[in-house]
Amino acid sequence: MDDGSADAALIERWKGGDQRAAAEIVRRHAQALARFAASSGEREELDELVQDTFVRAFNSLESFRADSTFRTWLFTILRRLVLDRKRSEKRRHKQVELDEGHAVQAYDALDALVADETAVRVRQAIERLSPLQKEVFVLRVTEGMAYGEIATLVGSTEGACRVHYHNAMRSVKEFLDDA
Amino acid sequence: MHDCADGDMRDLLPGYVHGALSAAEGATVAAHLETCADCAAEVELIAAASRAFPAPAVDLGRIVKALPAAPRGARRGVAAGRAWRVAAAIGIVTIGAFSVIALRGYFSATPRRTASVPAPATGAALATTDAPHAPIVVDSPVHVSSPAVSSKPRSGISFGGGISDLTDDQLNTLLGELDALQSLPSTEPETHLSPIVPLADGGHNAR
Repeated sequence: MDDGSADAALIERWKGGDQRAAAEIVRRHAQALARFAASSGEREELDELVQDTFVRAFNSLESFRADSTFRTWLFTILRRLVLDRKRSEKRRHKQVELDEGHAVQAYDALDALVADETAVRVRQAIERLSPLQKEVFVLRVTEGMAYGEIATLVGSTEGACRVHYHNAMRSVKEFLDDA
Repeated sequence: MHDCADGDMRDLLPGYVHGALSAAEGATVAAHLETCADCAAEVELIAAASRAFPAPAVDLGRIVKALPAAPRGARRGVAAGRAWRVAAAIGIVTIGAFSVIALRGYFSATPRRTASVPAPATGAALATTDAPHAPIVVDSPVHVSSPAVSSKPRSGISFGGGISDLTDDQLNTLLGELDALQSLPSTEPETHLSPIVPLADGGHNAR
């Protein structure tokens, strides 16, 4: 059974009254969602963000049409929450855009968590990508998502996502070569 | 670091790192990596990028507790809701049908209808209107459907426009044809079709 079918079966079990199926769904996707939120620059209240994602998803499961996979749907909900949070933060702080220096500083705190130097260098390279390139690249390399899945998530096309990925890969390689 | 010229192969590398390829695809990539240093380096880079974003710890128990309860019995609720909607629809249709029947009865009880149908085609149903003292209230001849008339081409009345577009003759024809339709035998006696008129002889000749 592939991931999509496994999720579909769990959803049916939950609809039939099995709360343990919900726990299994959370176990399958919570870590990946937290990683995606963290890679998007979210550092605080990640638990809350991931929790909100699941609560919203389960509250509107009846409207889930399975046009995309359940995983893609969860990531789409999380992405909207992250964007909403960023917008409200910008309004609150009257901050137009985080500059590159701030972004790098924000990641410095995580360096301690990453054991090897290569990974730290790669992340620094990724931080220099454009927001969309970074999003596509991270989803592809950290979750192994297909271009079609990423396109649904970010509201783009498969072809465009493929171009973004390969351009991002080239930029990362160049950064590492120059270092 | 250079890019391998085989773009399709490079597209398989993230799936290879995450073990998401089929057995056949995985074997193809593994064989390619034996001979392609660029792809081997890219696989290393992808693995390092994946390590660069470690999954933060999240409290799974707390998330599960916050979820809505599984919809036990929700399907029955939905079915009951549907049943109510169906029942309401049936009720509305029934009321509408009774309204139509009542309106037809009302219009069929008007003097215009009862007096204006001498046509043989409708004779069976309108026998009561042949009563000797049935009042005649229509002062102009009304065209009524009859076998002879029905076999002719239609009068050309069209409902493409409004009823106000019809001439007096067309309206009369339409009314007459409607009367003919309404004169089909009913399952209930239409005693109201004959107005009560005092008899000149006091009813002595009545059967």
